Amino acid sequence: MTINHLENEIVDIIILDLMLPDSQNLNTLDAIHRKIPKVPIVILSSLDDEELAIKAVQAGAQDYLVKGQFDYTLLARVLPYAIERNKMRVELQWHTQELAASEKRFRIVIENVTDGIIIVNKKNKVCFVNPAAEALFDQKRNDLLNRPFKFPIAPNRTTELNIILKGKETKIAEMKVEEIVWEGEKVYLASLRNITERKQSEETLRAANRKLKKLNQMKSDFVSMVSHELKTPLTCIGNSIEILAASKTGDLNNNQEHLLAIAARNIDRLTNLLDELLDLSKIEAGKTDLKYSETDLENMIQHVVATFKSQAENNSLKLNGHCAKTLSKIYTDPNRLEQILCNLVSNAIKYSPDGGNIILSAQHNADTIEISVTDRGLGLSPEEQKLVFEQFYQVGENLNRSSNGFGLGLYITNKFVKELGGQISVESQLGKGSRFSVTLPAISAQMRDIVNSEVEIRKYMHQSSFSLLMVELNSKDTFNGNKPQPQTNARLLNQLMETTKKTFSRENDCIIPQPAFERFILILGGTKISGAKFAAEKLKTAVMQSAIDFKDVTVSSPKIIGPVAYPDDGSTLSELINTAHENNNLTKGITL
Amino acid sequence: MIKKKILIVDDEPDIAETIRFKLESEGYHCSVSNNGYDAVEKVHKDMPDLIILDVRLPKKNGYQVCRLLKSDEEYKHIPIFMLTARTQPSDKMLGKYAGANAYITKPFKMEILLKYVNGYLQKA
Repeated sequence: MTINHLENEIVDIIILDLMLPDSQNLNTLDAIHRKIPKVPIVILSSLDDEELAIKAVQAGAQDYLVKGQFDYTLLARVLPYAIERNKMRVELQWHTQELAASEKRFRIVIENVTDGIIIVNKKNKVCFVNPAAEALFDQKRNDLLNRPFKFPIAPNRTTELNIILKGKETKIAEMKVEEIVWEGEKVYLASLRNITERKQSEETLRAANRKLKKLNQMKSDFVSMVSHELKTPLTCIGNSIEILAASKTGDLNNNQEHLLAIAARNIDRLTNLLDELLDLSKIEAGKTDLKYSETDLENMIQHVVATFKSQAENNSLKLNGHCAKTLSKIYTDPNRLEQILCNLVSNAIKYSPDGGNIILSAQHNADTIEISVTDRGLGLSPEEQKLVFEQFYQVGENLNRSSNGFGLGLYITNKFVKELGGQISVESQLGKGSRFSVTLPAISAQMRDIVNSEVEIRKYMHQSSFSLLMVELNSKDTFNGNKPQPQTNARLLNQLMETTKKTFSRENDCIIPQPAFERFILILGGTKISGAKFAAEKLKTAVMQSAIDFKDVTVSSPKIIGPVAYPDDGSTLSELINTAHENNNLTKGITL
Repeated sequence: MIKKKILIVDDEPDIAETIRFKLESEGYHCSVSNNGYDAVEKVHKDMPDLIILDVRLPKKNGYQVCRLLKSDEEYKHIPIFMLTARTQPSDKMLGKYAGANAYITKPFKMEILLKYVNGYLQKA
């Protein structure tokens, strides 16, 4: 009866007689335990029932007292002890449960995580595997545990594993390894992620990219071939018309002359179109190889002015050239630059139907060369100025089209300017004229080796055996004068990451691309590379190009060349690479 | 006055013909050859005063013909104009390396070709 009231009472301890009128033996104990499991119980037994009392203690009672055999002193000792002991029992029980629950929680995580987890000790024995790792290796826990781990462990680094399964199926896993202490021992914790699908889709993308590149090359080759083939008949027609028009075959009447002039004009037009197509196909195929040399800009400007003089005069235009004296020796690709200037002057003539002046001028700014072509012609609206460098855009669609090409002129010019590391811009007012300005980097003699290496780098890129170029200029490089710039390395690294959208880490003065399996050339800057800003710009271009090329290379085995110092003895890039090959021991410390 | 002899080497008969027409109307004597091998034979036989030489030719290409003649003491004085549809700077370099005196890109103006021819033959 009393049991039913228990939960409403606050009791610290229960002294229980097992021989109650309505409940006997251990039943009473069990009932109380169920009702209030946390309250300690001391059994009160009779002399002949001691055996039952002992059973009760075994069943969870804290102690027992025998009727008539205890006094106050014993009671005062037994009861507090019983309470204290019970408190500890309850706490222990709680902790044990909590521990079990926690272990269960972690086990659920470890067993259900999709990443494989493996622990390998320093003797290369596997100490732990989770189900995802079993699935990844297609092996049972017992076949993996206590056996050697078959792949090299590289702590603090991401590596790729090629897992060859029994059915010849291959899986690729990305492994990251950390050193941890486990059961008092230093071990390696490896987490493995199945990246097979990702790799396959990457490969599919690469293949698609290769195919597209090939198609693009075929297209460019076709355009180039057709343009060349068309030139021969065009030459014949042009020659014949020219002879006719020069009255070599007899006098012409006015109508005949008029018609021959139309034919001749359209031959010119067709020739322009073909030239644009050829230029375009060269650019699109990335075939334009630059040849830098010392160039007399003043001479070139005079030459361009002379070339267009008669054409300008025919259009009632005055064409003048000015060049700063300091520009008699600049370092650039003269063929490219001349094409740029010719395109701009030819455009200025084309868009100045009402005569006026055209000025071609060049000046030296702080560290750039600015060449501009100014006309007093039709001008461009702000909208047109935005679009004028776009492919196939033609200014003033209502203009007499007979002299127009495909609208590729400024698009191609812009590409050429960019190839030379420069920029083109336009200022214009509708009806007042336009000013096209080309800004080129002023390349000093000291910078030539860098420019040349950039050209060489590109050459190597296309040889496909190298896919990614790493260059590090060290802190001894000078920057705008002779002040050492210790930040050059960090800045270059940032630029590399920005432009390639890849991650690199720095280790022992080397730049390591992440993931680290990509093949690359590594060059460390030497002591005498000046103009680091310009070099960084050039290399940025090269690295971007290489990043594009990289997608086209199927990477099977890592190939590291270098590091090699960039010496001041005028070595070319190819020599440096050869040196690096020979001194392959230099690759120590960057093993992958 | 003896007419100056010009050898035109081009495998495109129409091009050769228009050049011949123009130059003959200017008072030159022209002969035409349509391959590199024949061109060399004709040079040996006729000793022209000037050669207009296409790059793309059957049997021996224009650069080969040019190099051959320019390395021969007996013929190296003959001015050679290379004629081609190519405009790549590297091709121009190749032409100069072969020793050509001028390099004319197709399509070209007859007047310009005539200017070059007059210039060279009056100098000589």
